[in-house]
Formats: sequence, C-alpha cells, structure tokens
Amino acid sequence: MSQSIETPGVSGEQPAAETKLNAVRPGPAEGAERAEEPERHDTPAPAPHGEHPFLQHHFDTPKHQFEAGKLGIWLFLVTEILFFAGLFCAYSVYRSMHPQIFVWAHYYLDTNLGAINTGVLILSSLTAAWAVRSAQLGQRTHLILNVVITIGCAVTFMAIKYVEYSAKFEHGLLWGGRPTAAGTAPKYRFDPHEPVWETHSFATKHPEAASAARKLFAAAHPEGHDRGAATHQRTPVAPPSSGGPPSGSASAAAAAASLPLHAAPSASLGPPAPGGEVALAVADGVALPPGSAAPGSSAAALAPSAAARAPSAAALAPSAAIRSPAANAPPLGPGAASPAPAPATARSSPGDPISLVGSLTQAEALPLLQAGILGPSALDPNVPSRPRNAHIFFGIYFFMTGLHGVHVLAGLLVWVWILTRALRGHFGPKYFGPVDYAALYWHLVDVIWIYLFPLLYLIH
Amino acid sequence: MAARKITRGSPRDHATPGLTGGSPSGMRYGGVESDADAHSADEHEGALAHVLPVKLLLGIFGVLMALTVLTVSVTSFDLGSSANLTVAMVIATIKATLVIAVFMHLFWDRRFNLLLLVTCILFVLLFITLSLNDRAEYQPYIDQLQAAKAAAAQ
Repeated sequence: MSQSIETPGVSGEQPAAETKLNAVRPGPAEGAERAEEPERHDTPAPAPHGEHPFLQHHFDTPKHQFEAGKLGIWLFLVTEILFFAGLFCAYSVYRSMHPQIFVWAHYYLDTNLGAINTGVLILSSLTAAWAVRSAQLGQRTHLILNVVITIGCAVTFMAIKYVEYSAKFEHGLLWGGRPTAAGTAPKYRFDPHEPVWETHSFATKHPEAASAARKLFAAAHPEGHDRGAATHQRTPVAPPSSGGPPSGSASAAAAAASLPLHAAPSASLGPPAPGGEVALAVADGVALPPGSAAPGSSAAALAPSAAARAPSAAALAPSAAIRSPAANAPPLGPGAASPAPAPATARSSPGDPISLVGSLTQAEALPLLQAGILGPSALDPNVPSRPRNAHIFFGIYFFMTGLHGVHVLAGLLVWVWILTRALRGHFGPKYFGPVDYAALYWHLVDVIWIYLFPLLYLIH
Repeated sequence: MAARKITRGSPRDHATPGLTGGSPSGMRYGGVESDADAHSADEHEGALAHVLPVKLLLGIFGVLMALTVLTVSVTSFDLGSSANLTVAMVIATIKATLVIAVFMHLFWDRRFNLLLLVTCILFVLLFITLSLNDRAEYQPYIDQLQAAKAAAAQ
C-alpha cells in the first residue's frame, strides 16, 4: 500500500496528525464503508457531507472541493501575472529607450532596504508554505505561529516601504511632471532636492566622478554651492517638447534668471560641447562666473594639461553610444534654445564650466555620462544635471512597487482572516484549502518582488 | 497504487504523506476507488495534497536567501550593463522557479495548473518581446529627428 512509504521528516509528525485525523474522521468504520461507496457515487447519498462541516454541497468529496479551489486560485494568479506584465512591459520599453535614466535614478534607491525587504518576503514565503504544511498535518499551534510570523513579515515589509516612500517624498523624487502652463505646480511634482552626485550611493561608487561633478557645479554656480544647487535643481529648465520658452509667472522668473551662454566652439575649449547653445540657470541673473568667482585652485586642478584632455575626448565618446548617432543633438531642444538671443560672450578661461567638462578624466566622466548627468541626454549637457524626463522612472517605480504593495496589503488582510479561522480550529487534514490558496497568492506576490528587486534596485 | 507512484521519480516519493499512515486505505474521504484511478496523474491520491517536508522547506529558504545575497553582490562587478542585467534576471528566474515549484507545490500538483502558468508566461514574453521589437523599429526615425534638431540648432 502506498501509504506505507513515509519520509523520515513526515513520520515525525505522525502522532499529531493521527490524533487530528481521528478527531475529525470516524476512522474505524471507513474500511467497511468503502464497499458501499461506488453505489453511493452513482446515486448521491444525502448525508456524506455531514462528516465535513466545510464541504460545500456541490462537491462530492473534500478532494473534489480542494482541487476545484486550487484551479480557481491558479486562474486568478495567471490573471495577476498578466496584470503585472503590462507594467513590466512599460519598464522594458522605457529602459531600452533611456538606459541612462535608470542608471541615474537607481542611485536614489536604497539597495539595503530593498534587499532586506526581499529577505523579509522570502521568510514570509517560508512561513506561508510551512503554515500549509501545519494545516495539512493538523498542527494547530504551528499553523497559528506560522500565520502570525507571515503577518509580521507583511507588516515589516510595508513599514520598510513606508520608510522608503517617505524618503522619496522628502527628496522630491515623485512622478509628477513639469509645471503647468498656468504656472501652478502639480501636486506631486518631480523636483529632486539633492543632485544625484551628492547621494551616498553615487559618492561611494564613483568618488572621483562625484567630486568632479561637485567642482563643475560649483564653477557654474559661483554664488555658493548650496544655494546654487537648490536653484539649479528647482529651476524648471525648458523641457524639450515645450516648443517655446517657459511661460507662466513662476517659470517666467526662472526664464529671466536663466542666462544663455553662447559657447563658441573654439579650439581653446577642448572637445566641443555637444550643442551650441547652453542655458545655465543662475539664480540672480548674474553673469556666469568665469574665473573671477570660481575658486581658481579647483579650476586649475581640473584643467591640467592638453594630455589630460585627450582621454576625456575618449570619455565623451560613449555619450554617442548612449544616444546613438545623435551625438550632436541639441541638448535642450528648440524650446531651450529660443530664449537665447542674448549675445553672451564665449569665455575660455580655466574656470569656464565648459572647458572643465572637457578636462575630465575617464574615471570622472564615464559615470556622469552613463547616468545622463552630462552628455546629450542630460537636461543641461555642460553642467552636471540629470537626464531629461527622469520623472518617468519614478512614475514606473511608484506604480510597480505601489501595485505590489497593494497586493501585500490585500495578502495581509487574507492572512488575518486565515488567522481568525485557524484560531477557531477550522483547518485540519481534510480542510486546509483556504490556507493553501492564501499561501499560493502570497508566493506569487513574493515572485513578483523577486523580479522587481533587481530590476529597480540593482541597475548597473 | 505503490507501483503507480514510482513513475514520478526520486524526491517525489515522499509525496505520499505520512499523515495517511494510519488509515486502512487511500480512500479516506468517501471518495470512490474508480474515481481516484481516473486521476492517476495525481501524485497525491489519498491525501488532499502533498505535504512538504520541513528539511525541504528550510533548504529552499536557504537557497533563496543565498541567491539574494549573490544577486546583490554581483552588482558590484562590472560585467557590462547587459551582462549584469542578464545575470540578475537569470538569478531571479531561478529563485522564482524554486518558489513556484516547491513552495507553491507545482512540482507535485496537477499538470493542468502548470499548463496554465506556462501558457501565461509565454503570453507575457510574447507581449514584451513584440513591444520591444516595435519600439526598436522606430529608433531610426527618432535618430533622424534628433539629428535634424541638432542641425537646426546650429
């Protein structure tokens, strides 16, 4: 008889399982009943369900009911996968189009918190699977314990998500787009308060690039780095598709403040900046720095020699690879170029940010180019900035993780329901379907996070 | 019955759960013998479903945690962006397969549930692949537009 094949691990649970089985099932008579059952199947007897309080009348046996429920939950899981597939598709398409935005944005995400959350979900998957096992074996205490741990993991996951989300909110890393034409800011406006090279993640991964970006930025914003940083990051630079200068009261001030700088591509500037027109947003409309305001020492340190420029030309080459043949693409598009008729003077002093860009070494320039901080895909190609349309990443990020979080919350409620039923002793070897279905759903939520974690947090 | 079981191969042999040990036969739920035989593709005749051994649960948990550490640590090596993405996706797929096969019992489950899942995944792959192909199709036009804008700006 097949039942005699037992694994050591399972047989250890035998006594508990036995007692539960005997408690629920009228055991001894079953062998005798079996002979009658074929007839009973052909002409359904009225009574057999009386033995199983949770066997619905339209199912023949507990197994019949369990298998039907399982098919139902799998059908539901399939639709869930298709539901998330739309978001994975949006992610894939946008990443294939703008890889530098994803590189840029991942510096803002906390890999440690993401990894901890992955561990929390895997642990909860273990306890969910264990809860099913406990229910199957009729181990009520183990079942309750496992369900409680699963609920605890779900709460922990959502708490960590709360920490992550509030950090994003505090730093202006939101999904909202540009200011509206009326000048009113959208409620959830994307407005990073901190440049990416100031993030801990970027500074530890690419210290040279971070310090180079800092110096470049200081050169472009001589009034003071902090103030300049805030101004630069908050000034709405004309988006590429706006087709004209920014309008509206708030952005008009910004437009007035932005000083167009005409960078004549001369030999003294080193590698020509991609694009002829550069609009630098400067707070008070003060003329751009040159060497006067910029600390000369750092400028000298950044512009060492002609020899140092040669590798930088090579370092700029990948920017063409980032955005294929459009190496000469106008960095800001027509909208940005139009408010630039002012005859700004081209300066070739060592403190000029444009010549500083040309003097970067490969180690300094490559991370900046790959993240779209400089180069043709940057908001402003000659001053460290961010990739254009970077807020769309956060649209995708919040939608994917948010939808996943909603599923975690729904699973949390389901587990609480399972817990109440487990406390009432509903589950046993003959009836554990709800525990199994909840666990299946929970595992699917885990599987989706298994993909979300590397896709969002581990971008290289 | 026992002979039928063996067809599924080695680690699945403990698919016959120990909890049925005391019962006189596999048919414990008032089911019909012929009914059970009709489901001969099932591994879990008798019991409602396969019971996962604790060792297997803990082992899979350990492997999943180890793979998580691996996928985080491999990010610090620069293999090129596409190679890094491929490695991350391969590790994620291994993890997902373990969760689905073991934690979700699909390995011991009815094959029809597996068919549902595989069909679904095929459609997801079709959806994403076609979308990516379609996007790549228009890249030359985008490049031309960018070049034209560049020329106009200069």
